[in-house]
Amino acid sequence: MSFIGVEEPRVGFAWISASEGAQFADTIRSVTEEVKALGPKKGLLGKRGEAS
Amino acid sequence: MEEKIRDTANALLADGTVELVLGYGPGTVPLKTTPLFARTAPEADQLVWNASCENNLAKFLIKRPGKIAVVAKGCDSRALVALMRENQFKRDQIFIIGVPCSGMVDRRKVEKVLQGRGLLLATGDAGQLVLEGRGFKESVPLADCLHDTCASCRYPNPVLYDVLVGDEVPAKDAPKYGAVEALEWMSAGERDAYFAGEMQKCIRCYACRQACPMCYCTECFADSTRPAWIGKTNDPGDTLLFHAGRAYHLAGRCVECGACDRACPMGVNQLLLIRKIKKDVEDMYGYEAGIRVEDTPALSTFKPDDPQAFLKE
Repeated sequence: MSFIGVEEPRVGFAWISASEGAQFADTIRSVTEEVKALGPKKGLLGKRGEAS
Repeated sequence: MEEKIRDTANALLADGTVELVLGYGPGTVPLKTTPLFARTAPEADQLVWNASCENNLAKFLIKRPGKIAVVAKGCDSRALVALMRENQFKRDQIFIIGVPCSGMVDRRKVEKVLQGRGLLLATGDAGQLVLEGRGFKESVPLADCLHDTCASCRYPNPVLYDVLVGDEVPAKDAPKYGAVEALEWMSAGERDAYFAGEMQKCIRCYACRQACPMCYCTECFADSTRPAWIGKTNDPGDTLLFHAGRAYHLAGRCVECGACDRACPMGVNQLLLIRKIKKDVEDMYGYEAGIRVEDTPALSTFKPDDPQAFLKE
């Protein structure tokens, strides 16, 4: 994905079992924070109208 | 070789080994052939072999009942192996008429030579392609007119066959991933610009998907509306997501036949993105699709030491 211009923190894979609810919540929270910090996606894959 | 293909087809149909021979028939214009489904001897006598037999016929075999013989070049045979590996048909259902292939002519390159002049006849002669039309006769080196995939082909001879109708030809001596590496060396900005240019051409006709022997899902993620995985417009962003999605679905499965690029009416170089992922799979998991039926595909196996840097802790 980074090859076509999606910054690395926007894409993630994690191995979480269905029984590990707390870990799932933590992972989602941290991903949300990381992506929020990055701001809106720019460039080709950004939201239309906002693309540079 | 053409005679040999016809003889083989006739013999197979006559003794009932197969009920259908899938090969190439004459096209309606120069440098074109069309898939030919031969069930009788007169039909089999129409089979042709020349430098325009570019279609990958493996796609027609998917879920087709009965015993079928198929004319296969190197790349086609790789598609057959990959499809067999994915249980789309069984080895004993198909009889492979293997044809060593020196490369197929790219009509777009020929059109550049012609510059608008009408082509009436094209013949191959000792490494030269002779183009004839009203008031001109020109000869160009065949090597200059080949598809890019053919010019760098590493498997010109069928990897699997029941009968081989010609002498094996040498593999092309070209860097394996030259174009992919050039793209890797670009800066992120240059690459963005490159993709923007390519994706602007795409009209979302999905001819690439229809032509691809490995794209055989009954419902494609691109067609799905509930959920709509990707946008359906031809905005370059939506288009890039479609091509990236298709490339991911072909990870460890693409056999580099180039059917997608040949089918594309707009000249989008989509194989490049697919080959980038193909290269990654080869580098990380040491697997290349469509070489041996016995090989386990990268996506169907797990080893404890598989690289997994992409996993979050």
